[in-house]
Amino acid sequence: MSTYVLRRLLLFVPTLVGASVLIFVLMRLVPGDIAEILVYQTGSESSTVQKRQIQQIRRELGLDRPVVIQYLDWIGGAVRGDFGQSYVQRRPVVDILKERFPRSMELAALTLLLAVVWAVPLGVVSAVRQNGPLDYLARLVSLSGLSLPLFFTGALILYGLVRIFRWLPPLEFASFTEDPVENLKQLIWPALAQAYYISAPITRLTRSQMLEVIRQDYVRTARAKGLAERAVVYRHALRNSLLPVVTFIGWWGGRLLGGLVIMEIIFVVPGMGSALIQAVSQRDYPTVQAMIFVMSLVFLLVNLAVDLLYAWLDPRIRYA
Amino acid sequence: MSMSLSRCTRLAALAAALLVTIGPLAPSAGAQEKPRPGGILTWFDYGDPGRLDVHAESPLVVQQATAGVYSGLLHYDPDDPSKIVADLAERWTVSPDGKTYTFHLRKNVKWHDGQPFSSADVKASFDRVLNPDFKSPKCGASLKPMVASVEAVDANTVEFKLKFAAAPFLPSIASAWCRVAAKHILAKYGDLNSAEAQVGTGPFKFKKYERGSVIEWEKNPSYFIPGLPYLDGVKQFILVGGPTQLAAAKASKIMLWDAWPPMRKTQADELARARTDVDIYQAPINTVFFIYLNAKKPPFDNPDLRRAVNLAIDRQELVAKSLEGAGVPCAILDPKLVGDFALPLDEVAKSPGCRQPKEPDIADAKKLVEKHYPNGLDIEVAVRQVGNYVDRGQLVLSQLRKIGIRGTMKTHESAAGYAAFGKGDFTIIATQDRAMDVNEPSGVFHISYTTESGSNYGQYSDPKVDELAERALKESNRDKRKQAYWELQRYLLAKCDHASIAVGWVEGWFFKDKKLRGYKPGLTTYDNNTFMKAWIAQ
Amino acid sequence: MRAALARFVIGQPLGAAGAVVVLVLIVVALAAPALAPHGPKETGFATYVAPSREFPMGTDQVGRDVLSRVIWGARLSLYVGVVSVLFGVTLGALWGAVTGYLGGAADAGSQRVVDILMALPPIILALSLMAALGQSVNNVIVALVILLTPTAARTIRSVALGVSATPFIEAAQAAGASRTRIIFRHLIPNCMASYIVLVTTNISYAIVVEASLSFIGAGAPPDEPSWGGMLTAGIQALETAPWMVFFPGLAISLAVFGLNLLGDSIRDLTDPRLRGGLG
Repeated sequence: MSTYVLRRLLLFVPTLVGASVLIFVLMRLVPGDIAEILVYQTGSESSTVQKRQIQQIRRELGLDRPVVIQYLDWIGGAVRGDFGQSYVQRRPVVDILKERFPRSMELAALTLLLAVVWAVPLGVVSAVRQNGPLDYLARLVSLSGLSLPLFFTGALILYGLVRIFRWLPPLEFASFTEDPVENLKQLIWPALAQAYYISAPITRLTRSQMLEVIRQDYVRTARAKGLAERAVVYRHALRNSLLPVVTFIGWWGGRLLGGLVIMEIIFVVPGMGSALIQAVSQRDYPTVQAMIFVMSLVFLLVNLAVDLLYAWLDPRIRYA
Repeated sequence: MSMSLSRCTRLAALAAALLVTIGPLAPSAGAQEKPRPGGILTWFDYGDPGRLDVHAESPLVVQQATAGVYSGLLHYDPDDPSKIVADLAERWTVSPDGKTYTFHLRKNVKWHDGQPFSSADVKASFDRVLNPDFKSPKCGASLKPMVASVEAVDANTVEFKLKFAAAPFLPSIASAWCRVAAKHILAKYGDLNSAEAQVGTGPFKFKKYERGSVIEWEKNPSYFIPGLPYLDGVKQFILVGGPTQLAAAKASKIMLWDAWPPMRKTQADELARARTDVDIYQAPINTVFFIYLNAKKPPFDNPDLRRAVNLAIDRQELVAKSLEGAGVPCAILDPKLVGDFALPLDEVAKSPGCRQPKEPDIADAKKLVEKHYPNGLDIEVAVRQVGNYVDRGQLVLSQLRKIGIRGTMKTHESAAGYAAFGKGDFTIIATQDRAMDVNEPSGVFHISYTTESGSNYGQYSDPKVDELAERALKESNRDKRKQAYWELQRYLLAKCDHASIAVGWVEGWFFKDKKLRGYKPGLTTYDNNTFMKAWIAQ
Repeated sequence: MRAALARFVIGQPLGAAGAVVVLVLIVVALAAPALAPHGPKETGFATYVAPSREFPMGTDQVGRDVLSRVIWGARLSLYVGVVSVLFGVTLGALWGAVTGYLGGAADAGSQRVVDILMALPPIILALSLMAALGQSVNNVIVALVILLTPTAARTIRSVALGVSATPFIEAAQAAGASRTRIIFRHLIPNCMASYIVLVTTNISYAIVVEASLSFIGAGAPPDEPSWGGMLTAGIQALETAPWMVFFPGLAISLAVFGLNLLGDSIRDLTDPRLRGGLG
């Protein structure tokens, strides 16, 4: 078991390095750098001064060095937990991560919770009543979540809240520890919208897993033994069909961190996604690299955790 | 089509008449009432400032985030934002040759941390922005060409020596970007980027900066003008998304919308339906809508082609449609902002490219294009993807099509677009708004028209323009200065081949809560947002 | 044939409804030039005109006919969806099937590449790609292909692993069939069902992602008649001109519903384990 975990952890290294190289190269391929943006967006100084300033900023930030050296410098620091200074905020990127990471994690957790609470029962109903009106209704309802782009759902929610209740979720972020009520008043809406959006595949998977398990021998046996239908469904079928669903939800959870961008912008949640969008547009390389690094790491860790959970839930699985 | 067009403009005019309940400069109804202390003013920033150094940065959000914390030597009068009045300076004198300005400072002024304020702070601040190696894109950029040195004569007197008798000197010193920072704070932090370094002498103390969420000021109880400010504090939400900004306004979460971006007319209409407790008004934002041609590359290195576009662009249509009528078409200077330095609008309206009917100019332009490109030509039309620039670009594309220039739109990311434009990496920029840093006639010429101008993206050089602009800048006699600017405007309008095309001065829709008193919008988007005299009625 | 169709309609009424919607979508996309009364980029009409006889879906903020843009938008959405999914899913499926079957270092190596691509947040990856490549419809497709490939590779790989372990592949190997032959004759045909399901469901995913990219300014160029772009413009005037969002929103919803219902039915039909009911 521990060797399995160790091996999986070792496999993180090539993935993280690969992801960081990829995003590093990609950011350098994107036209324009922070020096040009800072100087040209002002456009007040004479053109000669502008050219000099661009060189000066590049020198200060080390952008005049060869790209390979820049990368090695960065990854060298990252290994020691030092992600450098943000070009835009001029403070350690680690400080930015410390602020933003917990917020996005909370929003992601809330989203997953809502999605599971909503999508799994819907999938079960859909399977138990396969091809009946309830199945159709459940499938249509879950699909409707997918059918509009999230930004539009979000904008409609905002508009609706203002229009109907003359009320808007708080614009000022309060952390859960400071003020749980304010915090939830703000986060519940983006979480609802996002959960509605991601629930369709969870419902679909729950349904197909349930259908599969229902037809397996031990369920038939249980039913033959005269167990009540409800007991069959809930005690036997559901537990066993949930395994792949857990994996799938874990996978979504891992990706969710980076997928909250649009909700964070619309509902003014100062999380990682909105910071990352800003950092990309300002070419704040250290911030982009660090945030992507952390998001990738979370994705890998969640996947590992899900696999371990899977093994724990299903004793048939043993690791070689 | 012409019928629907005229109906459209008439409707717009009607709606404008209904909506303009107060002008920006109209005296507020609250002037006679007794100000009520207390309350928190709420409004918003359109972006997260990130850094807070007002000397070193240029985005509006940085200035807006720190405005109430600092004082200047001078500032624009909160009661009459067109007037320059004393702030940290009690009074000032000018030498007869106009080259030495002496500022006599207020005594007993304290920094927010309790340290005493003195002339050393003023010297440290201006030495900082005037340092040739220090990037100071607003205050520094405007003062560097004029100021030779700054000296502290004694603890309460500061003397500025100018390189020439510069008329724009006082407006620049009064500008919202030329704020005075504390010497000991600069020494301690090295810059003014962090929230901790926000120690000023202004009416409000910097209380909180929750990045990506909110910026808060609180009342400075020991502000040097007793009794001010009236407000307990000011809260600026950081609202990036357009739908969120409007939702916040409708839900009464903000009391004021008076910065960039202005509301669009549709937004103003929606707000008017949602809230009856607000005054909605149209106001200038001291910003020019430019089209830029790249004079260094074909086809617009050819003066005929530049002239063709100058003639063909229908500025009236662009203002009517893309600015929903809120703007002054064709003008290089706006009389509403700089008074008689601006060429009279009826003269401007007769200039080539602006005169009506439009058809002869379009026909001439078409001939000019055909002369060099008998089959017309295909070009890329650049726009940054921000505000309604893309919509404006659509209109520009259809206007160019009329003279045989077939454009395809190339969009740039908002920030990175500047990098491409600055490097001259474009053929034509369909639209780019340029805000003036100081409300002064010289501004626009040194921003977009002279060879060395920082936003002369087309890199066009006309020695005559440089010479006229320089002469007008250094002229200290007001009447001669006015004549010089008229000559320059007439020259540009008549020659009609510059690579920077002024489509018009941009105005926008704004609102303020009816309970908000003692606040008047400044003449630039930057000025008069300290809220030192603002108060909230019951 | 008619009987089979009737069975499908009765057995999978939702799927049949989905098929009809998809069919309509395809017809509208193909016949856009004939169906649309105006050009999708044609400006010059009055702005914000409410739906009327002249403009059945109204006009937008620069005076374009919304109906024409919705119709041309079908073509654009379908083009982006179909091309990116065909490329992305096919590429990923081949990659997953082959490396899954080969196993060993090839598989391990390719799994790391898949890991890398899946670990990167998709919206940010697409945003950076669009910034690097420049904004165009075809670059949206490139970005979508890069998002879709790894997921498809992983899904098909696990299917291929299952298929490889089945007796008939082992038999083919024992009979001395070449690897290429096994891959193309046995492995790939057995992954087809999963492949088809991936294609149908991912087309709708691609359409919605394209729309979302429009919102953060990284979608198709804004003058293109993209449903997402129309929604983005429309939410600036939700109350003034609700038709600007209603019709493109309806179009996206219908397309996504249709494609998903069809995909689900295909999944139900091709997966023998899901046939039949509970009792």
